[in-house]
Amino acid sequence: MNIWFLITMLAAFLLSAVGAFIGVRTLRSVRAHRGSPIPGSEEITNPMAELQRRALWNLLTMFVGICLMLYLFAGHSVTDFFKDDTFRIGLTFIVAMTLVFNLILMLPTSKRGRWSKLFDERDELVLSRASAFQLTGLMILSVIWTIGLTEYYWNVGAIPIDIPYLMFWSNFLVLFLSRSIGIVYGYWWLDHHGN
Amino acid sequence: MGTDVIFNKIRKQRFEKNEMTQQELADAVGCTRQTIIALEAGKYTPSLGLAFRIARLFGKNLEEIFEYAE
Repeated sequence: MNIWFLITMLAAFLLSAVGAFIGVRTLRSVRAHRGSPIPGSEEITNPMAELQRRALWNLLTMFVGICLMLYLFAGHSVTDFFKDDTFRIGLTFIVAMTLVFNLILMLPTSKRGRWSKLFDERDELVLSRASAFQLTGLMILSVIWTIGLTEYYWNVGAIPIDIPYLMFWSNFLVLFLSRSIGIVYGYWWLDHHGN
Repeated sequence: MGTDVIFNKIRKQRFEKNEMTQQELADAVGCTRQTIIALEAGKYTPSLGLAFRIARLFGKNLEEIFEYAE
């Protein structure tokens, strides 16, 4: 196991996340200065719900994670997953980090303790509709895997043993990614069309 | 069958009740401020439970706060 490789990947992940954070904060402050409301007045346009904001952050984090995974995949084949320890550990590490970030960001959905004040029936409605996106995401992923694997390994008649592991991780990623997309879309829909 | 539209007088009632803020109303009825904003803008139809809680807070009947139009 190459410890320096892990440290480099962790540093890259954290640096990208910090960069994205600074970028969004800057963009938000620029927008706030452009159209500041009258002091003391109440907002008519709906500010972002906590869950919506966190879903957007999650999308951003997953984008960073997926970019790092693609970077790792460059110059490797799928069969390197078990042959190359550094590749396997690096990939697993990035996927795990991405999923841990997702779990932390999505804590308000637990509705427990202090989170309950950030989450109400409107958020619950969005969340329940987002599950349709998860199902669709998984269906699309299974179609991609099926077509890809049968096309690529048709003549061989068998798939490498590494593939089920990658399928497992990709299922997790798509499950969380599609939920965040569903949440963001759900709020957009509510703001534009009501429920 | 047409689309159901539900109007409400939450904003008016809020101002009549000592200019209650959106946050105060949200805390009192157990929802987020974003939901109150969406309700006032007519972008969200509340559950029966939330509708009753809002009406009760203002000391009114449900139909005095919410108006159904087909």
